[in-house]
This record gives sequence, C-alpha cells and structure tokens, in this order.
Amino acid sequence: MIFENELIMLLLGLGVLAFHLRNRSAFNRIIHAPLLSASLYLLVAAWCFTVLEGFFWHDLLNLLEHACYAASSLLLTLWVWKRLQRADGER
Amino acid sequence: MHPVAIFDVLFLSSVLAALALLFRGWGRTPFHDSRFVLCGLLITSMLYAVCLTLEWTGITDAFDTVEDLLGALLPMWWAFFLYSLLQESASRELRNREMELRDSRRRLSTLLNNLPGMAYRCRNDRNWTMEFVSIGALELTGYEPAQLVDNQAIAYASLILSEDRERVWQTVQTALQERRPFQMNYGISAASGEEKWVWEQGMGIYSEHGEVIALEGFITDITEQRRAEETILRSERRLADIIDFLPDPTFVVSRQGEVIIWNRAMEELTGIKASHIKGKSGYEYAFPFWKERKPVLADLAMDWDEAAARTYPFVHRENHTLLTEVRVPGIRPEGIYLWAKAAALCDPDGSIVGAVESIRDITKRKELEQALQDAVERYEILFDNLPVGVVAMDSNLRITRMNTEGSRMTGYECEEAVGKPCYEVLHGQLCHTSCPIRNALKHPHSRSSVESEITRRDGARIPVRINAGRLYTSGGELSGGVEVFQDISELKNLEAERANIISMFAHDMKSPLVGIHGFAAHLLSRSSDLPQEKLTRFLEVIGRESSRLESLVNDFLDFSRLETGGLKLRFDDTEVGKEIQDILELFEHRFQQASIRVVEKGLDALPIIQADATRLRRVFTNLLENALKYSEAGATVTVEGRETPHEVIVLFSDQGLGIRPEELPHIFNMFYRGRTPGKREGHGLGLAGVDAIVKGHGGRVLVCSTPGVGSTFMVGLPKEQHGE
Repeated sequence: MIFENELIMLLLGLGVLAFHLRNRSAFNRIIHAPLLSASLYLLVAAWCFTVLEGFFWHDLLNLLEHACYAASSLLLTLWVWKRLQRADGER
Repeated sequence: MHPVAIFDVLFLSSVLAALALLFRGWGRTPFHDSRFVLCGLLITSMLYAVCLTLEWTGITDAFDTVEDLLGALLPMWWAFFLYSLLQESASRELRNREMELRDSRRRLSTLLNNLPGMAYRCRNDRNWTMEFVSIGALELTGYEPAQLVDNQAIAYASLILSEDRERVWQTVQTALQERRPFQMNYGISAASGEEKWVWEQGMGIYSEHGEVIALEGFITDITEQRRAEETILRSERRLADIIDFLPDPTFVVSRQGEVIIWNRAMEELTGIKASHIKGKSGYEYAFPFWKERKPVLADLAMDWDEAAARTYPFVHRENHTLLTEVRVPGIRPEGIYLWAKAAALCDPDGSIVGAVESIRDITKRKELEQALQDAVERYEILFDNLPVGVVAMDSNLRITRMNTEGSRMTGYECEEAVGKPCYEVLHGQLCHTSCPIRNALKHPHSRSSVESEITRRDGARIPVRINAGRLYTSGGELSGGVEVFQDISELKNLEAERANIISMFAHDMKSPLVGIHGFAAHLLSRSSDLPQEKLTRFLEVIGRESSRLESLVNDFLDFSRLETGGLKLRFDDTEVGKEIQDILELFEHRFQQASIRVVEKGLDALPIIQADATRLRRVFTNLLENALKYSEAGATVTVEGRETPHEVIVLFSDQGLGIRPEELPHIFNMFYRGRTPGKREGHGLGLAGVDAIVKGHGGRVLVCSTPGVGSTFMVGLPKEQHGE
C-alpha cells in the first residue's frame, strides 16, 4: 500500500540525490564530504524503505528505515563536529 | 523497548547533539552562510524524530499530519543545505582565486620593477609597437613606459642603432618562423643620447591559428659587461703582447692542456711557430725538449705527480709555483740545460684554470759552473800540495783555512786549526811584536817578507820565511789575510855547510901555502948561502906541497863540478881490473915500505865497461890511499873483483882501525875527517869525491866497518851506461 506523503518524500529525496550526484565533483571539494554524502544516501534509503514497507517485509523494512534515520543523523552530527573541530584547528 | 524506538531515540539524540554543536560553534562556524539552512534542517529533523518517537507513546494519530509535513520538508531542507554549501564553497574558492591573483600580480609587479632591465609585450611590426613596458624602461631607455606604449613619444625601433636595426628584425623574424625563442645583442640610443649595449631575449605569442599575436620578452643593459669584456680582451691582448716580447721562452697551457700562448723566444728556442702549436694538447709542447710527449713542469704546477716529478733532478715547490734545473735531450744534439719556473693560473675562486711556464737556456752558465768547479778543485789540490805552509785568516786573525804543509809544519790538523787565532797555532817569534799579517792588514800596499821562526806543536823550532798579504771579497772589501811560510831549515843547513866548507877549504889550503911561502922566502933571502943539499930538499918540499895543493884544488873542483853537474864524465871502454892493477903497481913500493900485504882476487876476470877511466883511477887511488893510511904494519889489504849480471863490483878490504858506527853516515860528506886518533892527514875531500864520481857513473859506494877489525868499501859500477 502506497501513502502519498511517503511517495512525495521519496520523490523529493531522489531529486536531492540527483542534484547531489550531478554536482558530485563540486561536493567533493567540501571538507569531509564523504560523511555528508553518506548521511544523505542513508536518508534517501530510509525514504525508500518507507515506501517499500507498504508492499512487503513491513517490520524489517520499517526497522531498516528507522535505523537509516538514526545512522544518517549520526553521520550528519559527526560531520558537524569534525568540521567545527577542523575550523578550530585551522584558526 | 521496541528496537525501532531505540533507533528513533538515537535519531533524536544525535540531531539534538548536532544542534548543540552548531549553536556552540555558531560564531566560528566555517560554513557561515549555510549555518541557518543547517539549523533549519536540524530543527526539522529534530521535530521529525520527535514525531517518530511519539508514535510509540500511543498518540500517533495526533501527529501524523505534522509528521507528513515534516517528512516532506526534510528533502527540501537537504536540497537547500546542499545548494547553500555549494554556493558557499564556490564563493570561497572565488575569493581564494582572487587573492591568489592579486598576490601573483603583486609578485609580478615587484619582479618586473626589480628586474635589471625592461620586460615588454609588443606587436610584430617594424616599429616594435609596445603594448606593455615595465618600469625598467625608464632606466634602460630614459623614456617612461607610457611614452613607449603605442609609440606615444617614440617607437622602440627608433631607439635601436641604425646599423643594428635590420639585423634585429631579421633575427626576430627567423626565430618566429622557426617558432623558437630569440636572443641577441644590439645597441640602442637612450634619451640622453648615450649609446648602450643591450641583450634581449623573447619569444612569439601565437593565436590558435598560429598567427603571431605579439612578442614578449626582456631587454637588459649589458654596456658595463660589454665594457668589462672589452677591457678583459684588451688586457689579455696586452698580456699576450708582454709575454710575446719576454726575453725568456714562455708558454701558457689551459687546464685541458692546450697551448694558449707560445711566445717569440719560445719560437726561436724550439724552432716551432706559435701558429703551429697553439691549441694542441696531449703534451705536444714537451716534445721539442724531451723528444717525447710527457708531463712537464707546467703540468706538475696544475696537478702534482710524484712519478713525473722524479724525472727532474729536483723540484722546489712553493704553493702552486715550481722551480727546477734540468738537462733536456732536445733542442740541440748535445742537449741543453734549462732553468724552468712554472706556476698555476687561478681564477678569482681559486680554481686552477691553466699554467704558465718560463724557461731559460742555462747551458753556458752550467759550463761556467763546471769550469769553476774544476778550477776550485784544481785550486784545492794546488793549495793542499803547495810545498809551503799557507794559512788564511779573517780580519780578526782567526784561521779560516790551512793547507797540508801548514799542518805538517805547525803540528795542528787543518780542522783543528780552523777558528783558532793564528798566534795560537804558529807560535811565531814575531807574533806578539811585529806580526807580518797584522802589518799587511794595517798597511794596504806593504808586502812583508821576513825570516823568523815558528814553534811546532811538539816544541821543535822551525826557521821559516814568511810572506803575508791581504784577502778581498769579490766586492773589493777586505775580508782577511793570508800568510805563507816556507820551511828554510835545509837552506839554513846548506848555508852553514857552505860556510863550513869554505872555512875548511881555506884552512886546508893555508897549510901547504904556508909551507911553500916559508921555503920560497927562505930560498929568496938565503939562496947563495944554502948548500946544494938543503936547496934541493927545500925545492922538493915546495914541489910536494904544491902537488898537495893542486890535488886539493882538483878534488874540490871535481867534487863541486859533480855536485853542480858541471863535470862531464867521458865514458869509454874501460878495463876496470887492469886499471886497478896499474894503480896497485904504483902503490906496491909504498905498501912494501909499510909492511902491508896486498892480495888481488878476480881482477883479471872483470869485464870491460863503459866508464871514465881517469875519474875511476882517482876513485881507486883514494880508496887504496885510505887503506894504506889506516892499516898497521903486517896487515893485509885485499882488492877483490866480482861480477853480477848488471854490475862490476870491486871490494877494498883492510885490517885497519875501522870506523865508528856514528861516523859512518858522515864519511862521504865534504871535508869530513874521522876522529880516529893519529892518522889525520886527509883533507876530507877523498871519500866525498869517491862518492860523487861513482854516483856520476850511476853506481854506488857502500862501506862496512868494525872498529879495530877493519873496513870494506864496495864500489858497484853498472856494466852499461844508458844515455848521457
């Protein structure tokens, strides 16, 4: 079963992913870019799992969805921390 | 708790942590422009996480709408966040580029302003129309850059000297066609009118189609360098001229061993023209001297080689300068002696860049040195073998040299005497009163020659004749004196002997003369009164004394002639035995009167020899007279003849008084009379005459005598006379 809000969220997320991939070389110049990219990829994966859980393996995919949210937020936090730390070091 | 709830709590916690970090570093965040978007993203995430968490609290439905809304916002916030990050990154990069560009421009400007010349960009036209000129143009040309750009005041081409203009154009065009950089030197006329030499390097700037858009390059003033080069060239030419006219043969080789300079004197010495040998290497320059190619002194000055140095008799080294003298087999068939001096040539850094060698033909000098050496050796031999003593001394009368005869006469070894005051060695009579050498040193023109005595080391006194003179250095300064002393002992003895002989001769003549004078006077005064018998006896005495006097004079004359070589013997075939027998017949009556028996042995067998018979008769007569005189009655006189392969020997033996051993050495001396008591009738010339005549024949007289037993005289005469 498909929920509209989940589908919209996924489509928007795929759009963001496309934007990211298109400008990958520019993103790569951002410091600690892999952390940020990984965070985005996990978030998009979570949105994918959200949509897919309506069709099969609801519990497992739901679990993966929430795990991806948690991992994505952890990576984003890690990026913020490392970037600030580096800025302090450079200063 | 459900695992999903744990992930949601973790999600919420990490978002809250990220928010806390962001707020904590809000003022110093590096993503300054994106921090608001990130803040929105994190707040949305936080709210979304809260919604997810609350789903487990049982009030799920109340927040579904909010959750859906937040879920849709999340991708948008991410899109904004990523976009703003990219923008911020791009703007930061742009700022960095701008800063780098500004920095690069500043560096370029500094570089151009400090370049010792002018950087330019110009069009490829005949005017060399400038599009850009650095500030260095002012110092180089005297024109401001603005005056040169677009030919505002003057075209750069018109600054180039007219004679160089076409060459510059052709050089640049050729380089452009070949698409390579160009380099050239040419002259320009500055605004002040001063002519300068410049060096230019540049290259063409081409369009995509290969057309020349512009020329870019650099021009610098090389006038000073050019003047310095000209000065160096003039200096080198002057140096070459100086070396060329040096009287000593000289050549210069480079570090690589190539001949750079070979002067005229060298050409004359070796016969090899400079044009032929210049630039040649491989020790070619050694060949004329050594007849082989080998390292010479100049090479040793650059690189010391022990093995090569051993081919020279010696090499004096002082830093990079070497000196030697050597005989080389080349130049002339007999070879020549060379004096050679070589030095390494160094650049200002001290690195060796070559070597110069100057040589001199010293063959004549060497020959003179050899001649001098020979002369010195001859002088040494002469000095040491002089029959007189020679002592050289300094102005303080300390001995500096003494010869062998001097050493013999003084009793001091030469080395021992050197350094001692002369009076300590000579011990002369005059040393402390009228020293001859001191007088000679005081009076420059005096020549002292005195007779005196010196005392030998062992105390013996030696009569000497001393001559003293001054010694001068080669510069004419008085350096000391020389004393020559001649041993005159023999001369003194001869003088004494001569005086003695004259005295003896006069004495011996006086006795017969007194007799003759007395009887003659008696006869003159009383001849009429004297009876015939007395008259006859007186006349007989006068005749006998006259004969004795004549005999004395004849003996003396014969002896002195034989001694001085004035008596010439007349050699003829002589029967020695017969001559002796004739004399014995004459003596027969006298021997009988004296009751002396005469025995002859072997006289008949004696051969005929070459001799002066008259003089030999005198010899034999004298010996028989002596035998008769010194024999007692009843004695026997034996005359024996013998023959050896080369000699005829006659022995006269008597049984007389004999001769004492101490008298034997003197019995042949003139006027020597034995001390035998009684018989003293001789005048001391007999045996001296015997000795002289026999020696005149090349023979010998020996005597063997025992006092109280008798004497034997042996006369040995050579059978043949060789020469005069």
